[in-house]
Amino acid sequence: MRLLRAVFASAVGLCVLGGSSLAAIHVGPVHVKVMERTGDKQVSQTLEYPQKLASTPKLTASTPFSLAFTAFSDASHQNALALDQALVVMRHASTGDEVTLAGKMGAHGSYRVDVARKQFRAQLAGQPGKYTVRLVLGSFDQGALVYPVGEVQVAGKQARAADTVVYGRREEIRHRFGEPQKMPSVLVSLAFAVLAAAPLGALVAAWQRMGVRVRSVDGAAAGFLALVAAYMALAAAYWVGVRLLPTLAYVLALALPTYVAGQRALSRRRAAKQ
Amino acid sequence: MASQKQTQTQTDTQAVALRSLARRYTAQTPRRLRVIDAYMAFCVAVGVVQFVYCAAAGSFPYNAFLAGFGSAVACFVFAANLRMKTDPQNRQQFPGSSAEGAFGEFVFCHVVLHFVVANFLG
Repeated sequence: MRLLRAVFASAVGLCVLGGSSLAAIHVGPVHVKVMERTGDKQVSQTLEYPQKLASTPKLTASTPFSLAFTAFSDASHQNALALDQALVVMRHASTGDEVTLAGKMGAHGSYRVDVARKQFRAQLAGQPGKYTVRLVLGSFDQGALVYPVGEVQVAGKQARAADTVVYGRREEIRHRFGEPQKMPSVLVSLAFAVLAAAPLGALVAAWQRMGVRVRSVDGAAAGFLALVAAYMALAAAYWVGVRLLPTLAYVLALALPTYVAGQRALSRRRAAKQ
Repeated sequence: MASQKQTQTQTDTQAVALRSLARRYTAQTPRRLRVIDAYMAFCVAVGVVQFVYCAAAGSFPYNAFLAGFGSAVACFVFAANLRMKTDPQNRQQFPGSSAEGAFGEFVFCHVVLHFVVANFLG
């Protein structure tokens, strides 16, 4: 990016020195917005070049900052101009460090820069303080324009340099537990547990009314059903605490007897029907 | 007055239709299918209770709700399959299958389903 900017600056310089045929870039109204977390606008101002921001808005991770403008090749703002460079440069007031954000072109000549939570955390949060904001616009045909828009205050904690070695006792790490989940009262849970189990009773009663009798199950079918019940018990045991591999071993051990018992019971039943 | 009478007549007609439906269902539906229907109604009831709990008291823990509700839905679907295959009226649509084979498939699907559910319950 630095190389690109150096090349661009040289090109613009050469053009400026080279002749007076180079036209100028004109910027239309610049819309600056800082939104609150609630969706309300903390700052919403439309600037006409070379007007500056009236106040110093405070930027945080949860207050998205946006800047939108249109570039023109004429002073009457009739012909929109697609730029070769549309940057918002934020310079830290005390350290001089710069954060450069590239504008995204929407319609022809219209640009927008958004500093949302992700960009804020990545590029600004580590170095809080006052920043000057400038629009740096450039075109190889039309020349360049630098527009100081104003100042913003970036909130955040000063990041410790990554290459700093700290000897001695470190700060104690304290685990912050998450907010406990809101749970209904025990009575409500118990009531719904009973409600969820109640249809089982109704099902058994309905089956009995229809004439389904446990006594009518013969030995082979009982063995098959017992093995199926063993599978269900195994699923419950897996849920309670048996690990996956032992569970799979038990599943395999039960598979063959269940298959044989099921085959025998169901074949016998079918033969009895025929 | 006339509209009240009309409403009363409509209610009577509906009650008669429902009673007739119930009588014909009991008389003409094989017992095996009625047993399966009762099981399907049971699945619906369990699913509805869980859904009401989720709507009224919250979905935490969500995985448990999903496992329970999904289990009710899957059991209903398996039962519907079993019903289709065991219904004598559908014999032409499933020429190679028997009621016993369908029951075997039903049991196998349930075993697999309940292991999946136990895995998902957390």
